[in-house]
Amino acid sequence: MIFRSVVFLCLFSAFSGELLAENKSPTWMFEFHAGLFEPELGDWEKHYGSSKFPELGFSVAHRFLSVIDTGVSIGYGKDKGTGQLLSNSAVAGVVEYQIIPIEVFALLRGRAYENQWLVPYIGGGYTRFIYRQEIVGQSKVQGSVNGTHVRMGLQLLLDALDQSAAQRMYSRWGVLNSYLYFDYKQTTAEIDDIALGGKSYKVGMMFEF
Amino acid sequence: MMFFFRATNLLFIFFLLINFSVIAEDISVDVDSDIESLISAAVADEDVLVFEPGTYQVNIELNKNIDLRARDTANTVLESLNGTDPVININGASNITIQNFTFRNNEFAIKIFDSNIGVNIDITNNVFQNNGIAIEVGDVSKITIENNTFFSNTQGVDGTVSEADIRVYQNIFHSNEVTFLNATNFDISYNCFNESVDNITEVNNNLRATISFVDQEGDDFHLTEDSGCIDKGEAEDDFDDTLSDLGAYGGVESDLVPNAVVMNPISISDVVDDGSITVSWDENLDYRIEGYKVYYSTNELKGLNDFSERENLSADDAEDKLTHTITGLDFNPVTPDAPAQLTVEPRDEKLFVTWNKSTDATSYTLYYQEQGGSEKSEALDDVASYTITGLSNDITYDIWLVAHYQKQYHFQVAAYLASNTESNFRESSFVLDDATVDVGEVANSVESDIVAARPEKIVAYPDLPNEGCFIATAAFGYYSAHEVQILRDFRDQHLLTSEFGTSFVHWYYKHGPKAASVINEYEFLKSIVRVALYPLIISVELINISFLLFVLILLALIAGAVLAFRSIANRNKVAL
Repeated sequence: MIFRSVVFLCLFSAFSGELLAENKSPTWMFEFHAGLFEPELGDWEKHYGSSKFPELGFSVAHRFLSVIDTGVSIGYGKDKGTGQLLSNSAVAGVVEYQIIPIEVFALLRGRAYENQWLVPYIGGGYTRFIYRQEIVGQSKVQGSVNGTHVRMGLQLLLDALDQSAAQRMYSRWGVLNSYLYFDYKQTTAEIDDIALGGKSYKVGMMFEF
Repeated sequence: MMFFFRATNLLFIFFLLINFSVIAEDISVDVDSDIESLISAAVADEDVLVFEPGTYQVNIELNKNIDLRARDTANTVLESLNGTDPVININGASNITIQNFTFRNNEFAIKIFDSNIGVNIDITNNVFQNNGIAIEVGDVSKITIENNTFFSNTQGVDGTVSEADIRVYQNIFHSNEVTFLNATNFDISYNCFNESVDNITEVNNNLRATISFVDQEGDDFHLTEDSGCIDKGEAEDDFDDTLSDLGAYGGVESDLVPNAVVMNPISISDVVDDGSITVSWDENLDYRIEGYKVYYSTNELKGLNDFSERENLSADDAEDKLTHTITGLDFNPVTPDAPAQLTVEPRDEKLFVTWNKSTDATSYTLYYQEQGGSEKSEALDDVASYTITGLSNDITYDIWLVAHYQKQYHFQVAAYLASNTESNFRESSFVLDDATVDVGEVANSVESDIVAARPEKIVAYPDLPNEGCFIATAAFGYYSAHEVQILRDFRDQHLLTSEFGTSFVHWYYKHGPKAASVINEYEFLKSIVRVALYPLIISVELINISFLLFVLILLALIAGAVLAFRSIANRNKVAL
């Protein structure tokens, strides 16, 4: 039953999407996302209580040749945990850790036809990984390092699910298409042999203009 | 049967929903409320916005038939948010009441403008104090300005459109520069004036009298016993079955909330060993006050400013006296338990101490002692953690705690009115003074367990490098050193504000870490670099304080050096 519903939804999306099309190709994208960042460092859970911490952000991109998005993304993540004693590495103190990854990226989208309801994508780019760390009541450090990232994901076209809402989005905001997307990203950044990168699991909304 | 049962249930819910949808509602408003949203959500011609005491900075656009009322005239103050627009601008609304507010220090308090017919607006029991224009009335059908007090406004009531039907009734006008403007068609009767207003004060039962407020400088516009505006209205007053008083606190719908009583501090001599405490307060000169009620508790009373919150407190009726002795109080202390679960976490030159609060403890003394050294202590309030600072890393300290109990009594005095009935509103003020006194001996717990700990530097995970002042950080040992902070401030305030300075910072960021790593490797270099950096740090600190001061000191040093050089040269010449 669920399978049949999904198939119906896919077919409906694919064909009903044609009704919305106005032969305008989107050239600009805005997206915002939220998710979890999982640092590569092995002892993260020991010091911060969980192997992941929340991260959110947004990005703006320009589209070339219908399938290539290039843009800039800014994220922010924060975690709070403990440090360790200098003498014996015992867990101690309170440490606040913040990251601001700034990325320049290019994505290749697997879009074969207008209003395709499910669009896979893959890409990557440059990352400037900004960090800030405070040992509460003791000191603060901050800095940044160059890195790279690769990402992939799946975009789900929402317009067909509620056509009247899609029409309103277009008439009020000029939004041609709205997508819900799921994204996986691997960031690599290293400073003084410390790996600052990690994996990101995000869900977001993308709007095409 | 089951179907019938479900159907009746649904029917019942349906009727319940219908009933709820038509019941008028009092919507509570406090100083944090979004009044615009509340007005949007309110049901016209039914709901009332009831303002809690507080000072509100608002510009209310009232274009819907909603009543605005407060519970306490004296303590519900409305001020213009932007300073120029009216506090309440009534435009397109009708059949509304504005009641029990104080409008203070506004350019416009209330502006009414509407060209619709059938408009009916009541402005009652408000205080208008130090406003530019208290009420400006535009093109409306009918407006009643009843039982308000207008004090020290530039203009009282301004009727800009003469067709309006405006009734000005049972108000008090005191020290306004212009009482009425464009008042050709005003129906003015039963008002009290402290000065003569042409063609008004002597007719239609208006009177000129000594008004006598309780404390006009202290914003208390209740009437004293010798006021000439008492019982001079037309309608009967349901407060004491006489004719209405004039002004904001008269008429049938005044708030009947006496202003706060000012309590005197309780001195040691007021506390007697046999369990008696005497409290005293200043007289409330509101002529309606019949007596005072003294509330007391061993718990904190601050914030208990509503009668309903005082219901469960002990209370004595002091009648009309201004002092009252409460007897039979228990002054015996309770011995608190020793603080438990004492834990100490090391920090850099600090120790972070936590513990479980002891039952009945009201304060603590934290003791710490360098092993083999002298004992030190910190007196603490009723807290569960404390950071001991100014310690040395790598020295072990013993830490322990003692809990204390000090019994306290807290008092509030509320005035009540002559017509004290079961109604809470007649009982007392909303905003009360509070007096507190310590009684009996201080009881101490036994000492907690002793915990030994050493302050120690914490390292973050991951231990990331800082892109700060690398050389200074390496030389002084840590990023947050005062000297390093001075250099950082200089970088941010002076270097990064110029092109040359920014280039230098970039150069330094490229090469500084290499020098820092060398300094970190050789301990003896740290001392040398520290000494070398001090003249720079002192200069930079002077520049951070005042560039002029730095230049003056530099010139003085150069002048001193030149003089010294000349002096030495002259001496050598003489010697030759």
